[in-house]
Amino acid sequence: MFNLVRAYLYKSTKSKIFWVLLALTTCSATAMFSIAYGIGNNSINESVSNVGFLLSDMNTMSIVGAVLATILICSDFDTKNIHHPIISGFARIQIVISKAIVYWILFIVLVSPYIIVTIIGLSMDSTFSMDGKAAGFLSILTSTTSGSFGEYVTIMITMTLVYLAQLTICILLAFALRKSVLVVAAYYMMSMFFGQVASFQDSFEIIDKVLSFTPYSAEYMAINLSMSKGDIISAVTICTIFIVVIIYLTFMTFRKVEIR
Amino acid sequence: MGETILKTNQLSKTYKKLTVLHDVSIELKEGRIYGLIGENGAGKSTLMKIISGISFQTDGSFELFGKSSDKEIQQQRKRIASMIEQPAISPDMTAKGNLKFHRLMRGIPNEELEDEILQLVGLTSTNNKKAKHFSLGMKQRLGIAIALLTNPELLILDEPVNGLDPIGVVEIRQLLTRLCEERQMTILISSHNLPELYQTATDYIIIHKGKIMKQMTQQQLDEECRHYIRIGCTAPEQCAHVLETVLKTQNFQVMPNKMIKLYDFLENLGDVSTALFENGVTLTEFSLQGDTLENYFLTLIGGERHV
Repeated sequence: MFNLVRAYLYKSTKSKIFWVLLALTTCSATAMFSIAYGIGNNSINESVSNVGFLLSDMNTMSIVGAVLATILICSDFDTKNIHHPIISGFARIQIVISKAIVYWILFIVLVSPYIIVTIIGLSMDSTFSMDGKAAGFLSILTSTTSGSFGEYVTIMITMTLVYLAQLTICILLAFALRKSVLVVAAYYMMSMFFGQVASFQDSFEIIDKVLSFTPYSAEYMAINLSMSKGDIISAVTICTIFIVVIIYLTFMTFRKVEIR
Repeated sequence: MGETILKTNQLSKTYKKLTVLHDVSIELKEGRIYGLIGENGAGKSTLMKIISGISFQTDGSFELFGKSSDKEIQQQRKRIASMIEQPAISPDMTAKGNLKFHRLMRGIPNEELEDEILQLVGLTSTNNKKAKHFSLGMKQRLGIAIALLTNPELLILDEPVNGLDPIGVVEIRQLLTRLCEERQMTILISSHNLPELYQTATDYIIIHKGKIMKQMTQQQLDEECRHYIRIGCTAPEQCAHVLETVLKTQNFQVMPNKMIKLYDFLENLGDVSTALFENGVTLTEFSLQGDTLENYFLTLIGGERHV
């Protein structure tokens, strides 16, 4: 399986779209950082905060994650490259897990500009603000609570895990739908749906309970230093279980499927 | 005969209500080139897909290198390579990049192999050209190169000469023949180009509407398609005597229905008819008979026979 992961990594990094996505997240992260810095230091009007929030990791990653799944998985169905590992004697579960590992590695590379600007921001003696609108790494960056280096690392790793768990569903969609357009559209609609549902979490207990068993819960998207250790452990556990379940469902989808 | 590489036992495949393979039982032996002949939709690609693991049979079973359980077959697939329907290549990568991807996937450390294989299929001059800009023939060559990367013991090729120019067709034919002879590779190859297949294959499997119509060696096919002069006469014994004494040939057969098949003088029909007539043999039928692979195939599947 190591060979398969290596080969997929090699192939994905040869894709122009991957580098375009990396350039996109780098530009977005830089712009988000600059706006948060500008608002925090009163050099930019707070009305720009909408743009800053739009460029934040929570918004860009849902699109980037879906596109990443299409270049990694759907393209293999389009070009029939998915035939090769099967013919080469790899089990279908090995193919699914290899794709997932490569997806997670590449996703971490793509989200790394946000991690880097957050680390830079935290190491600066400056104030960052997005006029109260914050999620994902932006919420860590704009948080007024301070903590130790270890706490920041823990928060950022947890945040990355939440993203990985949320986006792992793109792997299932890609294996099930196979067509790039359908995967991007389906995930975009899903993220919109979960976003809307999460906004009712405070009003309806049942929604809050159900969502708290998924990585789409609003509290996981606003992880910051004010969260307790118990909440962090709960987030990590929920996300890990969610990833395992989704990968299992992906395998079940792909296990006996005919490939044309 | 070498060891059995593949043996299918009454393989069937049904899509909803459509049966595309019906009780297919074939056996492939080591070091032979099997030509899989059939019309579009006959079930050739489906059979190849099932063997390769990208499709599943609805009934029946098969053995690959003597192994028959799903897990064992999956392991044995490391010993095969295939190119089905169209070459599966990464369009944004060069020919060498494509080979590197497959080399990494198969865990082959030898980087020089990429150049060797490209040379073998005549793709050394493509340099930095991406595969999406390749002609169909070049894509076919790259597909074959990928399949050859692991030096497989069983090579499955679906229409490998599609899109190749005449020189390319000859080169691929020579390459396949060489692989079979030098490496004892077993090859299952489908093609619509029957004259070309006739020059490549050592054995034939004829499939029609999902059923195997015939599996035969080249020798058996030649025997079936052998050209001869068909002679019908009132006195076959006298005719045989004339052939032996006047035309000095024993290369003929008297068939149970009293017809005579003469395998000599195919270019000199006039000499034969004159000799028989001058020696008092009354002819009721006199014609040149025999098939090409195309005609034999058409006859077998019940299509129009070309003469």
